[in-house]
Amino acid sequence: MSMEATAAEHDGYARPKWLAHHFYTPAQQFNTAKLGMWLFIAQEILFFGALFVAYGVYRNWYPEMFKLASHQLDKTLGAANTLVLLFSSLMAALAVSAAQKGKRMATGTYLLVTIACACVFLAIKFVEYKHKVDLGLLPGTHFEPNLPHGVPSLPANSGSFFALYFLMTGLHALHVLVGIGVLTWIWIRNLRGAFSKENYTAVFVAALYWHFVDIVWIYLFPALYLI
Amino acid sequence: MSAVAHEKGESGNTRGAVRAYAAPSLFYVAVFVGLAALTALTVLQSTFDLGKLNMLLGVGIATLKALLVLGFFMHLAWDNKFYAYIVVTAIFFVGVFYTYTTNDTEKRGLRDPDQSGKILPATGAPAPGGFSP
Repeated sequence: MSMEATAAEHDGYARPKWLAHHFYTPAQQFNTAKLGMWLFIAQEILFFGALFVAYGVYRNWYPEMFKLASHQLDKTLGAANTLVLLFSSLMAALAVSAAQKGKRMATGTYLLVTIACACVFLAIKFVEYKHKVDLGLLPGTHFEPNLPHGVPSLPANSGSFFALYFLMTGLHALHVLVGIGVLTWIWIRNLRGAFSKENYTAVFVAALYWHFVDIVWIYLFPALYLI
Repeated sequence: MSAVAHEKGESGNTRGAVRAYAAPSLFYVAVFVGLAALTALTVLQSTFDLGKLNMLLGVGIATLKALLVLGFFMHLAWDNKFYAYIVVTAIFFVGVFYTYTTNDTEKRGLRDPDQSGKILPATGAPAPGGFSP
């Protein structure tokens, strides 16, 4: 046994069973998990960043087409979804706060509301997607608009706007779906009593991911709906 | 011994327990109210055509909202600054990517006026990229 491993025991510190054997202290374990999630988020920023660069290039090329095509999106539904996601972020922050205080019931409730908001978000997104598909506002070569009478027709290359719309919001929706899975897993672990005032790392890190998903939408909303 | 440093943890707690700041619940609610207000502001702004300012205001308000989420919901304001550096670095490289890419795509028509039959919609000048008119 190494000198370091015995040092912890000499200090009178009993190792909790949730502390992995390769960490000295709970703080070290917590900070390592947090660093891992922040590095993953950095990767996600670059991942979504590429799509935003593509968006920037096309918007610079076709500013008028972007404006006209964007008017086919429902601002009200977009704004509603923004509020739903912001509220879910608040619930995730309160879940972490409750977990930090060791309030198991409150943590579970906040997590459930977060998950419910995520489901509402996807439901609204589905309504929007269905409307676009019905009107033939589809990506690239599938763009065959079938707009109601009285609506000004769209430029032929509007398919590139809808390609970006479906790609960006679709990848974001995929992240929401993954978030629902992760938060449900955390909710179940919380129900089983896996967390405490001393150990809430998983709740904190899952919430970090969820807030990131929120931030992506914060940029997507004005970029796509409010041109 | 290095073990001592580990033992103390980031918080300086000698027992190495996790110590992260937790703001009062009302504070988080206040942050949410701020975020909702900024959402209303950005929707309101989009009903006015302010020319070049449109894009700037849209990105500006979104960034303000992102900072609120990053700083308070994600605890960056109270956490070790190293996590904030990670985020800033990632955003910096997206900026590098955007700058170099648009420096190409926005100037193609100027540099290669004779290539292919496609045009830059902004100027009508011939350009290799983009869609057929």
